[in-house]
Amino acid sequence: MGQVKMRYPRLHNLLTALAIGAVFGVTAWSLYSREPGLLTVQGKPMQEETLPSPVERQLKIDAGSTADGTDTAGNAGQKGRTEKMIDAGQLSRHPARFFNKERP
Amino acid sequence: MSASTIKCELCFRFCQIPPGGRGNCRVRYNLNGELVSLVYGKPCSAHIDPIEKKPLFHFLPGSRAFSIATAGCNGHCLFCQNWEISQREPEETDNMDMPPAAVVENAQKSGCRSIAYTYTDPSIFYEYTYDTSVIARKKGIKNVLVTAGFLNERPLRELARYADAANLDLKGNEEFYRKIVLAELKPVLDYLRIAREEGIFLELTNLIVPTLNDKKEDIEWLVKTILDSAGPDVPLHFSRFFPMYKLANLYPTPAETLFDAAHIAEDLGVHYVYVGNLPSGEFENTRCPRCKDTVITRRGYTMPDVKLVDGKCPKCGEKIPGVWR
Repeated sequence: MGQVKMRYPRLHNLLTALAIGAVFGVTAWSLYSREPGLLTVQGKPMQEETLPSPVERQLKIDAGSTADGTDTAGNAGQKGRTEKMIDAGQLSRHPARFFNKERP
Repeated sequence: MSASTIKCELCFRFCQIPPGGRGNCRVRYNLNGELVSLVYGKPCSAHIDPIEKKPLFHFLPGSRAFSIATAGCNGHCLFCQNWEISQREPEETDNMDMPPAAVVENAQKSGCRSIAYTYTDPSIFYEYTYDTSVIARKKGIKNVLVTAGFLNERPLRELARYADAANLDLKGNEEFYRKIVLAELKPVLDYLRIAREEGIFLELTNLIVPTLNDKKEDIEWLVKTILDSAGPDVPLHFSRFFPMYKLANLYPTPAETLFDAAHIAEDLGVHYVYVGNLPSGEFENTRCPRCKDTVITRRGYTMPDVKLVDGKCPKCGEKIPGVWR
């Protein structure tokens, strides 16, 4: 590096600037991409998510959003997964209230 | 409707849910012909917040609220500030295991005087909210609902027995609800009426979104609707929008728009008007509507300076509505 500095001072400056920029950029991005308001209760992270890319997120949301009240299309990819997560205790299967099973 | 299809009656959407499907909220699931909540005791967020952040300015000022939310929502606001949890299925969030008794215990341990059911909407994790509220009431901790108000009458009246306060969003007119919230206005006005009938202490929030509900006529309509349905004493918060979710193309609400709205509300007769999500000076403080003296001074989320004496203005004795201790 010393030789580069002496023989190619402009290249040296460029490399230094790139190195500083990379460190700054990575730090800024890691701060920016954190979920806001992380708190820890009893030593456990409250909310840590590995977020998919914005495009993936948008696709998932659009696929899952329905205006007519049912959500079967958006759940197509979930078949079986939900039950597995219920069995693993990651989701609950607590009886819900306020519904009607009778035929109209 | 087939024999195993279930009609959920929790909110105005009345979703018909086939086996293996779920409601519009993404968290109420038809599991082999039984309706279950996928998020009972499984919050994806739990924070200790100042009560002023809800925002509630007339409810235990300076206290902390243990605030929880699960994934999902039955509203789909294009501007949602919490869309990364509200517009997700619970499979997509990192959930904790925190049954109702543990929520109350955490609230007690952390010195919180209330539990806030918030961030997404307590309506969609109704059973979790209800059971937690029952335990909290027994332990002397108050219950706060921060909600868009999409909850039908019967569940709301049951929950109201344990709810101490609510901050209800009144987001805009019918067209705004239809196009931007992807929901309806009427259930919200019903919620407002029923909550008042049931004696829940209420404050209202209106998020002003540039170009969508920021016109003078929009604000006047909103204020008149509030005055007609709730009177002048319900605190009203105008909140600043920041570009988010599907409205990331818009700019943040200019400060003067918020202050103009606050002045309109005051001129039309609302007694307690606040501006939030930006430092707003006088509009952070509570003034006595009779003598105009400042009775509570606030600066952001720092400890407010409360001058009230037994809930009354120390200068003229006017009773200021709220839950003060």
